[in-house]
Amino acid sequence: MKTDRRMFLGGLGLALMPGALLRGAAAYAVTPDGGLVIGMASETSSIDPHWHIVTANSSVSQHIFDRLVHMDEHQGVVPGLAESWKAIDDTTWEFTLRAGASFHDGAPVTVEDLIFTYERAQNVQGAIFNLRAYLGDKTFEKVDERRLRVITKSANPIVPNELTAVAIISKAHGEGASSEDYNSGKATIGSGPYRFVSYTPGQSIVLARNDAYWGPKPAWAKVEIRPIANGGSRVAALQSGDVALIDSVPPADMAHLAGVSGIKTTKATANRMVFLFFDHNRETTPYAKANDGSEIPNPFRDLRVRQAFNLALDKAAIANRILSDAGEAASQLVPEGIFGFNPEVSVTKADAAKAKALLAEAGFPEGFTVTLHGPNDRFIRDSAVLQATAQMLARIGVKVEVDAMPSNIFYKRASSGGPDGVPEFSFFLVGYGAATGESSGPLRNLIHSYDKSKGYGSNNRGRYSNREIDALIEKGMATVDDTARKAIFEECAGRAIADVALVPLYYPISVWAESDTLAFAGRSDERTLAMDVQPAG
Amino acid sequence: MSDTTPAVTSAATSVPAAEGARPSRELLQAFLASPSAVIGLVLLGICVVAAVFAPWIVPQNPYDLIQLDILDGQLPPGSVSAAGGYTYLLGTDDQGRDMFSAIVYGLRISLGVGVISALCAAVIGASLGLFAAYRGGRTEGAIMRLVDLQLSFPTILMALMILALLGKGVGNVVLALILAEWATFARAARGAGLVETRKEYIEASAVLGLPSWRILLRHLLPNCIPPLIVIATVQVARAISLEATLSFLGVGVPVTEPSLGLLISSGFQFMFSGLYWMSFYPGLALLLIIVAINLVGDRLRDILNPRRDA
Amino acid sequence: MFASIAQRILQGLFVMFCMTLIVFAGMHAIGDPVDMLISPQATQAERARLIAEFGFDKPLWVQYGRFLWGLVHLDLGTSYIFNQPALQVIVQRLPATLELAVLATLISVVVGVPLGLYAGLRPHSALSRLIMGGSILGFSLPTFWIGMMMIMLFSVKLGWLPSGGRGETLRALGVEWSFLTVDGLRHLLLPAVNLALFNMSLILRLTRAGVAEVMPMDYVRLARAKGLSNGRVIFVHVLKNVLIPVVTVVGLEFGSVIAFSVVTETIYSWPGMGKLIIDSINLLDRPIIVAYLMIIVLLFITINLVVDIIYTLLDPRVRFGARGKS
Repeated sequence: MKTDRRMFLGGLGLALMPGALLRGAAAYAVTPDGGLVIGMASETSSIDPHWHIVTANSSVSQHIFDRLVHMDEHQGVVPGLAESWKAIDDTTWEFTLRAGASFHDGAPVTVEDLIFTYERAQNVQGAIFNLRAYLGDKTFEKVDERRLRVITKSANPIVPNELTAVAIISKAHGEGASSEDYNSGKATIGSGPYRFVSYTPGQSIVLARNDAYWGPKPAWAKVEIRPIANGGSRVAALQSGDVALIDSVPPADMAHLAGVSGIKTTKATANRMVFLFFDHNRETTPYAKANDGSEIPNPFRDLRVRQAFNLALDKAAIANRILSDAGEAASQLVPEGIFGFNPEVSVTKADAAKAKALLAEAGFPEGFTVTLHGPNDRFIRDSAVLQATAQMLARIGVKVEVDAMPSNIFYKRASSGGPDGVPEFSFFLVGYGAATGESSGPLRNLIHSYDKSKGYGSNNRGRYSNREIDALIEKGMATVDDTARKAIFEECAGRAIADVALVPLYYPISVWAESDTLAFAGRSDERTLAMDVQPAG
Repeated sequence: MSDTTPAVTSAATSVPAAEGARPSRELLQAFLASPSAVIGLVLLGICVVAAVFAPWIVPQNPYDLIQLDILDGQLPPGSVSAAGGYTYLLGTDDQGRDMFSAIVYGLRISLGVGVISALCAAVIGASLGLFAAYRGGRTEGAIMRLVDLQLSFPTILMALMILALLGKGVGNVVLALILAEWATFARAARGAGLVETRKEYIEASAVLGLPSWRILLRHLLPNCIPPLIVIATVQVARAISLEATLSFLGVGVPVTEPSLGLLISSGFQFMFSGLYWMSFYPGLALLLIIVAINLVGDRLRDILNPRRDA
Repeated sequence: MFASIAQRILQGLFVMFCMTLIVFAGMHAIGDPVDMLISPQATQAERARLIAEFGFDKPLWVQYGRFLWGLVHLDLGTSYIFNQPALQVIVQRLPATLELAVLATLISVVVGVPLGLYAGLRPHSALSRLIMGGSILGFSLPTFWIGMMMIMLFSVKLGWLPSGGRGETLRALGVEWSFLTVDGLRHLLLPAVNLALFNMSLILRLTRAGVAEVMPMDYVRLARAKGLSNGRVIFVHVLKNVLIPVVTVVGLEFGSVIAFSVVTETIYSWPGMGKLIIDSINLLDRPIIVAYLMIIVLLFITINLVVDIIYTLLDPRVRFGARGKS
């Protein structure tokens, strides 16, 4: 009978599955050993240390691969594979390699490995977030078996800072190696404190301690890193003991975690600043209109309007209420403790009355309307910050429409969405991280005028331009002496903020939560490293 | 899963065309005979009234940022507003938005999106489906290939891609939902239409030389309406649910004008901290409206289904 | 019939071709991942270099031509994010989605059929009404909301089940599977139930409708009159006929279960294809998006074709392809 065949087809699946389930139950024998399990918000996209240099990738690569110079928790430069370095002149630096450092396969780290690394790091096909920004102006020369010379095209005072970004690989294993060879472990030979064990994309990365490491011996024999994108799931995984440490604790969970016994949190101000940027350039700007919808001249070209916006915003309220203290009210381009922070510039106190007066003085007693654009998946609670900003500006009579969009659309439009590829938005929320641990990045790329030939102002999507500050920045960039450069950078920061080139809102605070059996201090570069974690007590 | 391939939808919900229209009073009586359907209808009525008269029944316009104060944020139900003097019956969200007001306004968006998209999809789909059934041949083939193409693609992926291309916004969500749902109607209308076209009266009208648009409009359409009504009811609920899902995935309506789905998803992050009201109450509202529509739809299907009498 | 099958395959290829074209044009309109991923330290020249390296500066038809050329060589492109062949990235995540979808389908059948049977046999009992009411909820409530509520209840309040991730996996056939370990099964349960709810309601309702239709029929009455036991009548004569549409739906729905795992995987951080496609859309990883959609379309076409062929084989009266056409 033909129905029998149908029954058979239906029954086949049913018959197979329970057997599989039983087999599973019997096979449960492997238990996780006592290593450290970390839950990270972002997924590592590749083990290749020269592929996209985003935090999730750098965090992992830093376990396996040393840098010539390392960054400490506050992004100060400390010796890595180089035990010392010095500037010979404005354009030449010399690094001396540490004796006794070796790769996981036992081979010593040589100057040839360094030169090979710097070559490969610039030539990984398709790497969008690549290392050319740090290596493009440099040539490398071997002096002797232990000394490497770095020659830059023009004076570059931050060569050691820039080299902290580049993971040193073994030439023997790295020649001709593809990203796939790093994912599989074939080429994943570094000199770092951990060696590579396995990588299951989207699921886990397992590392084992390198007992031959030249530096301090890490506390954990085995480390497992698991991506857990959903904030709630990450917290739940910590609470259930699946993981011992998580990064990016959602602000909404902060209060709740404070009451959980056995769990503590660690905070560290990140080197990033989230800010509001204006269209400084165009005569009329597309998203600012009079209240009746008619065209008005670009209001943001008037300093008083920018000052009014700055005064209208209660940055402390945003940091406390919206971010639940996962942000620190910002006063300038980099947070305190980072080279270039100007101690004389403090957070502007919100003053709606004064802001209103300034607006009236600028010719907008009734305010105007403007659209505030921003990403909705880039920063912690970004769309809530956008709404709060709109709310505060509404109090001084500026009608703000919020347009929050996924960053895949936002960044393209913010950089080149306007006619002729100019930045599209009039008023928008973005962020900038001082990855090198000092303020030259934001000064050069955000504040300096957009200048294609010099390569300056590449992130200046508001096209802010102030020739005096430009000259100062360029002077600072060529000053190798730290004290003199620091003074110049501080002055730049002071001037840019006084001119309200942008409105700094907050510095995100990275929040980790961990079992209270761990001692962990956190870092300002947002990375999560097993080397920083010790058993408590 | 908030919706399905329409191939299956039609399997589960399709209804043969009614054998001749029954008097409407009889239909009404049949409808009212079911208590659950009456409850559904009452609930639906309340929701519709609340949505239409939203500005007059809530204390705050949750979309007017000047009426919000983040210092009033995250207050539990029953707290009193510092500025407005009114009570936050269902608490506030993190922006200081009164949850009750936000839910009523959100209902408005959700219901509006659901009804408009289902209606438009029904009109477009039914026209194409009937036309296909009437014309047959190549026209039918072409239209039904298009329907198949559409149906071979999961609704949610379809809507997701459309919104990724068009960007956020209530209008875009409606558009995406229409594009994602029209094929369901087209298939059902064609099915119902095919049954009708074989009947003598249609042949007779054609023989009489009536223009084809007239046959379509005056004779075919009325007889295909009952199954379409049932599908439309289900599709309204499905569209509301899909809109909520899209907003949850971050491609739906803008954050400053949250629908129920967006309220749920932005409130959910506070769930673990015990601030349940930001996500629970909008969820409840969504539940009520969807259940109400389905209760009504279920009953409609039963009474419009001629086999009930058999 | 073979001519029809060939025609269907051609149609499928055409659909796929249209789809790639639409996706390509659409992605082109949104943009490329360069502005999102580029180093904040990079200069304007570097940005231009990258755009040229990927060919994003080329006209759309050139980019599409390159894609087609790759396709001819069975190359779907390299992921911008993972620096691996797009197909490989997807296939790596396929097992996770597959086991979730299979378990969800299993749950929906194992729970849906008996409940539907009961509701069909005793249509007026209170329990039946409860079941039918519940099925309305399962049928119409958004998956994401139910998923969240289940996390709230079972993970946070009760602490019975983990809230996300795949848990312990075991290697079999060269792939990591969660369902082979107890911990993995615990992780699998909530998302699978979440994903199953919709189909469960669907199958339940189909079964009930089928039972209600079959019970009054002559052959069932005859069987009873012949003195066959109630159980035998139900399980042999009724169920057999009721299961035909159920099996069809299970087959047809399997493709959409995989597609809809997008939502469930997002909520439960399940590292499968669904989560990958959301991430890829967010990062504009075009090769992955195109490859994923091609696989989904292929899956749908194959399932439809197979169901049609089986139908034709099972019931010679049905002309090939006639299923679902009227």
